[in-house]
Amino acid sequence: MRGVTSTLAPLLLAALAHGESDDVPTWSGDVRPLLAEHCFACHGPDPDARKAGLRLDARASWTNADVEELLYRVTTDQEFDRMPPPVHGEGLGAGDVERLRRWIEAGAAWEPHWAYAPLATEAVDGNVVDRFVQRRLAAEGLEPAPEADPRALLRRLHLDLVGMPPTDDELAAFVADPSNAAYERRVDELLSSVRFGEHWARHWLDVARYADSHGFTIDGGRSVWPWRDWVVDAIASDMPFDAFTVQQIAGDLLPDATRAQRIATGFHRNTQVNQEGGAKDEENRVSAVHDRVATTGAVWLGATIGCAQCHAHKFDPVTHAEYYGLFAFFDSTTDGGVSAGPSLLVPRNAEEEATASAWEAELRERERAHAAAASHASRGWTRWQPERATGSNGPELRPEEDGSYRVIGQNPVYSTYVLEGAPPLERIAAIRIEALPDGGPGRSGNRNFVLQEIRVAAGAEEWTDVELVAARADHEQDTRGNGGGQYPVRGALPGDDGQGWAISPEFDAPHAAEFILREPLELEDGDRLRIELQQEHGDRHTLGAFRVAMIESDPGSERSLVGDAWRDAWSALREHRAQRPRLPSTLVLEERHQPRTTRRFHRGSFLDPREPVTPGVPEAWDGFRAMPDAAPLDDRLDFARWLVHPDNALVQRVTVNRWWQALFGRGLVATENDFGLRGARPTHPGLLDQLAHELVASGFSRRHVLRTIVLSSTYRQASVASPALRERDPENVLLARQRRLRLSGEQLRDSMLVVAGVLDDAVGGPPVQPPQPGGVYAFTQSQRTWTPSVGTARFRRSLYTRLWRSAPFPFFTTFDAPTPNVTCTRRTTSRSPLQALALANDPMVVELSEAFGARIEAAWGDLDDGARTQRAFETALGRHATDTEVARLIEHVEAVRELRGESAAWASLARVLFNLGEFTHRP
Amino acid sequence: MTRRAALRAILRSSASGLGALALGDALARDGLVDAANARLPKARAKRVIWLFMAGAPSQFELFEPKETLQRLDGERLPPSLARGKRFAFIDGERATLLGTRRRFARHGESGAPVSELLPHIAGIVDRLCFVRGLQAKEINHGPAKLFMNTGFGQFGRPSFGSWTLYGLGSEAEDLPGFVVLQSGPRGPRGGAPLWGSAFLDARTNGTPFRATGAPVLDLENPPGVGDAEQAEVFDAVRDLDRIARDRTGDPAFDARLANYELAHRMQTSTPELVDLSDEPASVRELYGIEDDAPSFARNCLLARRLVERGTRFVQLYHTDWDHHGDPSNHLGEPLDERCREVDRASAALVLDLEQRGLLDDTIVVWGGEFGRTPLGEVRQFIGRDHHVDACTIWLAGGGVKPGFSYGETDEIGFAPVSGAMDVHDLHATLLHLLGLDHERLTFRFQGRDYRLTDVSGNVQREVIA
Repeated sequence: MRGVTSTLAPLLLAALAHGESDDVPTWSGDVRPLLAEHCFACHGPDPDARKAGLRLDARASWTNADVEELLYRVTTDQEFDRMPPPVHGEGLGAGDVERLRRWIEAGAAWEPHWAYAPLATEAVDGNVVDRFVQRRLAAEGLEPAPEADPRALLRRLHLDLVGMPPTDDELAAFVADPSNAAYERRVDELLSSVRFGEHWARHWLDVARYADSHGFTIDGGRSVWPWRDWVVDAIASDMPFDAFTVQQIAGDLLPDATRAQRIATGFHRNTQVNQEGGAKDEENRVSAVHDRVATTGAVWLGATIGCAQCHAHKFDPVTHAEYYGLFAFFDSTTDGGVSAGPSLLVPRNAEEEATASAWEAELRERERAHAAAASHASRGWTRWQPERATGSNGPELRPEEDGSYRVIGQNPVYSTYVLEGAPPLERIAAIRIEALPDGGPGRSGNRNFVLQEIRVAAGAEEWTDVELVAARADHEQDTRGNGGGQYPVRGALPGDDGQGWAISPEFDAPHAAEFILREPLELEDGDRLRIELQQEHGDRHTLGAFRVAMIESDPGSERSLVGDAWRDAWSALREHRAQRPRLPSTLVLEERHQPRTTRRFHRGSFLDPREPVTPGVPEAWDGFRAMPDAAPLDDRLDFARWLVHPDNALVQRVTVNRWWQALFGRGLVATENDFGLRGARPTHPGLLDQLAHELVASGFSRRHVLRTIVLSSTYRQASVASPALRERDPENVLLARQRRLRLSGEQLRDSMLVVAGVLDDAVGGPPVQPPQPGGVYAFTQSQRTWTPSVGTARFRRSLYTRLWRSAPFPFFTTFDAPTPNVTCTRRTTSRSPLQALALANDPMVVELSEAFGARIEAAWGDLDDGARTQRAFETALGRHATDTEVARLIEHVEAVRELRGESAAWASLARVLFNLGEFTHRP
Repeated sequence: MTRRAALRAILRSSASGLGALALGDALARDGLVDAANARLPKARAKRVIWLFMAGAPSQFELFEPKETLQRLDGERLPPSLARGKRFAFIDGERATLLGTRRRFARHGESGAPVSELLPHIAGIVDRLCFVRGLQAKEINHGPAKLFMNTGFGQFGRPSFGSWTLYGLGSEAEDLPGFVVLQSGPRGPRGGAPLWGSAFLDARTNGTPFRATGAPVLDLENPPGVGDAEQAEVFDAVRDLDRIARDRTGDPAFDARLANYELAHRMQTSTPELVDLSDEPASVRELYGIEDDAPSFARNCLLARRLVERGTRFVQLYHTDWDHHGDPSNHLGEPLDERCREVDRASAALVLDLEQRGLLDDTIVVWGGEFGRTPLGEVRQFIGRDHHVDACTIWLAGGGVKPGFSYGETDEIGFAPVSGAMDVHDLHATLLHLLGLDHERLTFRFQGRDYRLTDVSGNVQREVIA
């Protein structure tokens, strides 16, 4: 029955949401979900998939639709007329057809999809959550549950807001005064604490796919933890969500961007970097950009736009071209697919800040000076960087912004580079090859290369070889005196049987060679140019970084090809780079000076780029801006600001829904990452919109929205349900109670740290390594050792545990921590025997049980077994144990005492308490 | 009765209640198996053992002798074939064709060609079905392994084993339903997502057994804790959880109780599973197990023991088949070694399953993530590059046509000329044998009905007996 339950789930929810059946069906509530399910695959937004030219998702199609025909098609038994065709499934049920008919009869009123429409708000007295939830409960004839008892309530509040249970003292204080005012005070204290920042940062790290390594197969370590600390600080200090968004998506593009704003861009540097031998830089760069688009879509827009990478979305209104409009926003950063840069220094105090700033300013100056000197050395020459540039035997020629190519990836024994494209000039008299020390000049062990032969050809239809007659270079290798050879540049001319041009021993300087054509080449429109650089000397004597330029008339040899100015500027730059201050660093986004030309990848293949695309957002999501006047969105910063535009209701709904989900285990929209046409509808649409409104009205304050929710009596209800209510509303859609929620692995471990009394509450810094069971790396390509941190560092909060993508901390994974390779907007809650094994036997749990056991002995050593057991129970679970429970636990203590003595007995009691369902769930 | 005996008695009595619940039942009970409408009326197989040769063995050295390729050894690839093709490392327009240096012979009544490197597999060809035109989509190891396992080249989709558990549940009482075993110098590229459940229920996740020591993490009692004390810990947890369940009426406690039962049983059943001392010497010899060191052979025997105990899906990874031409990885001695490591045990597994009557309803799959090029790759030694257009795998048992060869490649083995099969076709076919309709085995996630075969896949009836 899966087909029925799943396909009708949105409709059933919609029915639940409305509750009344006599009303006129609405387009977005009734009809569109129906059509999205049955019709849009062939009659939706995807023009390529559209059959018979019929489109049913847009308003225009309904203004002149043949509704009689439509109703006939969905009801007939005629095999060839029936829609959807029987091979595609059951089709519409009688109720569906009836709803469709009534909607048509009532005038086929069309309105935008609920999630894309403006917020519907109203003036509400009192707590908005309670107002909407209770209105709904009244309509359903249900009563809310009573308020949870103070102990359960405080435990819930602490676990939800700061991720750890209250201490004994905090609990005692609240039990003594559980008044409204005291609760409110507690809420405000918690929401202002750094512990809140840490716990809610963990939610954000999930969506950001954060880890401390590059991923894929090599999975080398990376430093991006300063970004994690930025998130903790931003949340703890209640940075408004609009600024929180803008800084992470485009902090580097803000005017006079601060260091913190640039650190924030680490959000999208959490993509993987493929260090595998055969990995291609461009392929992996493109794949990271796709990931950034998909992640942004899921996190801010509640949309699965990955489908549109290859074709127009079949259900949601994102076309193939619009997808690449989004792609274009992210397509012009400098980071590559197989290298880790760029990274930013992260000073920890004013003195380090001064050091870092001074070094960075000087670096910019020396880079500028070096670029200027390089340009000056080739003044009059025009640089050429055609799109097609390949190397045989596997290397990749990555075009750089300065017109050069950096040769990366596979480093073969020999290779021929081929550059091909439209010529930069109409007349070419000479060709200049610059061998650059930054990444080169050569790729052999000592950075030499041998340019064996240069071949030039041009033509429109067929290639005609271009004759080269002379060559000169700034420096030619002649190391015969040291047992080496002679490699003059003329040897690189076609037909010359010399060995070619090499540059030993001047490896750390720029070099240039110029090749003179027999007669200037005159080119016409449509002509293409090809240059081949053959390097078959062997032993990897190939160019590592080079630039090609040409000129209309030969300037002759009466000048210096490179010159001291350029050489000195390079030395100065190189020396300064080597003096980079030894400070922590973090991966950041950095925009190219010249944006890339984004092209649509046909069927999603980066090998098949088609027409250029300009940046832009899908029209369906842009309805909130007055269209004719809406300014074009040019770059990431414009896009980031568009996301958090005060009228962008979709982003606001998605955001508050995810916060709600973190507090109730289920969003008001159950499909938290799909607010599209096939996603679930909100169970309380008015409440969702009101909370979104509160977000904007409060100046995008996360603290305000969370405060509103946890102060509601809805949140404060007891987690109790009569069998009848459980039967009627198993998922607690109606909110006539609270629900026990399974703690995350991180919350579990942090709770044990608190209960055992060993938590090291230091904030921030590089990741740490608590003990984990042996053998975790048997299944990863890179064999690592995991040396547990010593001292109290092993008792830091779980947030600070080092995360290798290929082998994440097993205790967390066992309790459903996501694999951080793709964004995770909601953790699943599984129950497996491996969880029981981890809680029962993991060395980390055992160590903390022993610590808690020692605490029990030390703190309550003067009490008898029963009283001690009672105190331990209260500390771990936050409530009094019943007599039966105490009796059973004393029996346990006695049994272990008999086997292994006093300390083992109390450690074992601690172990039992940590394994209880009540410990692993928030009440 | 001693206290210890009393504790044991209590524990045993609890096993008649919820504790008797197998994981498969737990899956079924939780409604996971409303994949029921994907069930076909007839299933040919109940379980799968997938021998994954990670790194991709060369079909030209093992199963695909090509006369023309031998003749053209050292010549350039015809431009018609090279144009527009992607290779990971070599330059298709400049590299030259490479004939094999290995001797081939035809074997069995079916006359299937197998090289001298695999004498034991050569001995069972009449039980095997060779697929010679399998086509991969991804050119690098990580994505290709993901594709072979999840039907998609990027992270985020459930693995074949997870889909199988989702569709059929497990019959294992005391063990996980999907187990991953590994041998070779390191783990397979791609790691945990290769056996991950992605958006499916986490209980369908593959459970990786470790090669040495305790095969499951946290399987051993804490240091110093004896079995009696451990049993008492599980007892105490059960008793208090029952009290909590009775007080709250919360059904979540029931699943928890069942999991603690299974966990505790796994502490016993798993060591028993991996203790091969009860296997007769003849069996150890059949597999070629010489000592207790971790090995592919040992894992093959473990796989048989697992399926005997009801495990639904066992996947064995044997790594280091990536023979490009580096000193440690080329088509000479390194390939000899890989073949020695897997040949005897692969054949033994098929024979052993057959002798025990398990082969009829167990599918054995043997192959890598893609093929290797008919072109040579010249590094310090000779190798072959990654090749997506054709590779050879074999299937056995579980309703597969024995002594059969499906698909044929062109004269240099570059691409199929008949019987092309892509990975989705393979998945569709294997699911079909398991009695599952690949188009109906779906799970809705993010508004889309996902399936193992994505949007394609055809059941290849020719390979079905």
